[in-house]
Amino acid sequence: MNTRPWSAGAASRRLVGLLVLAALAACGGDRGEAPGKGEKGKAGDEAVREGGTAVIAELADMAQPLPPIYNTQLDGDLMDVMYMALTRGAWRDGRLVYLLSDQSPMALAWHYEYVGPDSAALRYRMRSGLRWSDGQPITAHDVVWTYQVVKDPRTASPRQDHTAHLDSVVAENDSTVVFYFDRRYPEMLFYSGLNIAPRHAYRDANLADLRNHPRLRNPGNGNLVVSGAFMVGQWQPGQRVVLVPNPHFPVRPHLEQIVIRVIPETTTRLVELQNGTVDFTRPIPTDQVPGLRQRAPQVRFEREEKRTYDYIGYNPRGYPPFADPEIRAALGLALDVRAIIASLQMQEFAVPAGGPYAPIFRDLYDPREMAPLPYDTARARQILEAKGWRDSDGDGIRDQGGRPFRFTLMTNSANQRRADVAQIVQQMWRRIGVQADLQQSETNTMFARLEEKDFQAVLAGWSVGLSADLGALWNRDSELNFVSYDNPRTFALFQQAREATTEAQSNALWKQAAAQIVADRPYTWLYYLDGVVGVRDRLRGVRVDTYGAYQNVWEWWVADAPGRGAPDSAKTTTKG
Amino acid sequence: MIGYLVRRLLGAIPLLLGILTIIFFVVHLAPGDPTARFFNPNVSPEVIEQMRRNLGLDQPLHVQYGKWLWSFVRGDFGYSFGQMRPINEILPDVLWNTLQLTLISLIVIFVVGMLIGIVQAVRQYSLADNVLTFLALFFYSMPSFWFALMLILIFSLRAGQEGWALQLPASGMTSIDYEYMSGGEKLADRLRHLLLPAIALGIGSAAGVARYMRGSMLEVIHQDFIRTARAKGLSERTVIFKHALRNALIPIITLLGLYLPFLLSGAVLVETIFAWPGMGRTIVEAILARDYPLVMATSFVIAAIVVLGNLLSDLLYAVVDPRIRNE
Repeated sequence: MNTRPWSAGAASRRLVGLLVLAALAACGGDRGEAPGKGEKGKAGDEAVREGGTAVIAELADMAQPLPPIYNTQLDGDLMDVMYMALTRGAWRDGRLVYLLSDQSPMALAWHYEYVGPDSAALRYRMRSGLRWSDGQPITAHDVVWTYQVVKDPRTASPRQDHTAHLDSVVAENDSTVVFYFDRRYPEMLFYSGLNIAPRHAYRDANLADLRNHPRLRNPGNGNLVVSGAFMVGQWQPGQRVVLVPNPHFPVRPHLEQIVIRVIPETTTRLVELQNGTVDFTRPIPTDQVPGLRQRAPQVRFEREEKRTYDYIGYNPRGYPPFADPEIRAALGLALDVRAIIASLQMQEFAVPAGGPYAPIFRDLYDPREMAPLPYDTARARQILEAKGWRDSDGDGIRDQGGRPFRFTLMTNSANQRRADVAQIVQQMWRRIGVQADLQQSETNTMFARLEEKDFQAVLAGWSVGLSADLGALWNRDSELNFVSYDNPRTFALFQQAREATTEAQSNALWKQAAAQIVADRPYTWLYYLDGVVGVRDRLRGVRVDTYGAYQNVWEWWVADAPGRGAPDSAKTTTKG
Repeated sequence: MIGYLVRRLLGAIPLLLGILTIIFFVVHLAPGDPTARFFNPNVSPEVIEQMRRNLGLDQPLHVQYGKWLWSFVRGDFGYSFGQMRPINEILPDVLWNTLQLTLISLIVIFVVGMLIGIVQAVRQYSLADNVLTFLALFFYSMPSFWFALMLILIFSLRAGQEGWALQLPASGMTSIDYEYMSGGEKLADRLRHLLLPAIALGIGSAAGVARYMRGSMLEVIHQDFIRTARAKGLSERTVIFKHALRNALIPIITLLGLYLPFLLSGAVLVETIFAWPGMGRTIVEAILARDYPLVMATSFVIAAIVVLGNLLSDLLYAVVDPRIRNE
């Protein structure tokens, strides 16, 4: 589970991001078949219809949809829609796989091979005849330019880590590009998987000012040059983005247009979904799903599986008793996570968590080493007694040396699920004589306090990436290692895993490192959560899985095409 | 009058600068900064530092303030850190969107509020007065965000489920097929989208105006000149609308200017709930993202509207009351 995004397109789905963002992901969906598969079944007897409009409701607007600089969740998903990459990522049987052009029209390359004496270079052969949306050819020079821009410090690209092990990227000719790494890595395909930007459109831009480029300020009417299935037809800031088919994409999408509406309020989004004025929306709070199933049988629920987890992190610098792993384990043993899941109606969408790798990671999850902590208050009490924490004054709170076992549990104010969980956790700890005072912090303020390690315990979460590297969260010097985790054995395993030359070797080492982290109990992992997407039945062909929700938009179609959103003349003509 | 106006406008300049200076330092001293949104394990501290340099956040605060002030006095609000567009491009759109909403709300507030107030005053202590008093207090004490959600659930969701003729849109400014509508259909579509947010924004204030209007009318109705008007044999309609209403309007009109900034602050929640891309939503998003230039620009607009609203109140007061004009 590398914390790096697989590709630029994968965006925040593939990022490990503070779950302040995943506050949005308190979601779930129908279990059932993998998205797309179920769809095929339903649509099996129906002919795919061409044309029509799909309406999506998102909670935030498009911002800077350019591969080297995008950062928001929607922009990341739009990368999957608007920009091709050398290979296209996909999630198959618990693994991230890399598709070539014979498997996905969004892949630029038809072939890749490891080259050089120690296979430290990767050569891609690109399809010929591909064009950007403005008709210019897509070449290997675009690939080289994209990586140059990402690597250039002036760009301040959030994807700069993709270039950390790259010596150079060389275009051998218009359709062949070679990535030279400083040595052989298991994740060379991952690092070379960024979405590619058009060199000719931005070549003269000042890189420090790329985010203000006129094409990004006014991306409509084809100003934003793209290679993917759709391009921006119209952008009304704060209201909607209208995507229309890119005439130069090798496959003609079924839909005539996709309208992405910006609706920040959850209740409003759900009303629009039930009214049928929106065909696709996310995130859907898990507690809303049972009611929606009854009220809106035309809506189905897809899931982005187990990409997020919530945890309680303990900061020994903020509260010294947390320096003892047994104390941290006792606090974890006192939490009945299954009861928490049930009380918040998350059973269908959440499972108790026991470590940094969710069960969806087939090669990394170890059910024995990463089993959730049992609910065992007797054992928790026993540990606290043994450590000298007793209720000497009979007030119900354990104390030691006259100091009560009392600390502050911080969480972010924008997340109702976590606010509810914090209250339940407080009650459960109270049963073993531990007092947690709850504090909700504005998101930015919480970030700042976590960075400065100015907290005692935090209820937060992570949205995890799709590859294995745990270092970004747990390295000694990582800014995200809020809990000051420090175990040389773990760090040695990290190093060995990074030096391994095959995926099998490195995965085995990452598993060992994860097991060590779990044994050290820096967190109490609570649950892994699905992201829930609501889709109206009229919208077909949608594939939603761990990889993301916008991964195959060119295959989407609407059953009543052209239907709503089309001119009356079109409706009449089609009906006629 | 013109001299008075000029004096008031000149007096507003140091006031606005003082407000903006305080806001500048308060927002910059709050924890977090605009680069917090890039905060994830894939982004190295060096990249974050470079972003801070690109945005000019690495400079001392007084230098940042000086630069901002210099741009501001030249009419340049700078770039939004979050939207990466010139704020001079953003502001007209969001301000116009909010003004549409606010103006319709003002009409709701004053037309509905005054009519209710007049009815209550004319039928004092009647059943209608008591019912309307109850309703006015009910709506006055209702939080606008809750009322907004109720309106959506009833007039959009329920209306759709029950097949009511009057189903209103739950969000947005226009329908997705707006482009294909005729001129009349476009106007109707806009109004349909405006109706629920305008009611949500205005109903509480309308209830307040009704209470003011009732009190003001009652005070006027019991004065001698009204008795004289009736004694002259004027019709009750003429007495109420020509003599009583005109005098009772004076305190109400002062509310007009004061409600303008109040409506803008109320629009924060209503715009978020109805997905209305106006000033309120922009301000909230800017504050949460620590988008300093946008916070400053929107704060300036709000502060200026407050100052102008007060000035407008004073001017309207003079228009309806000749005694004040002469003074």
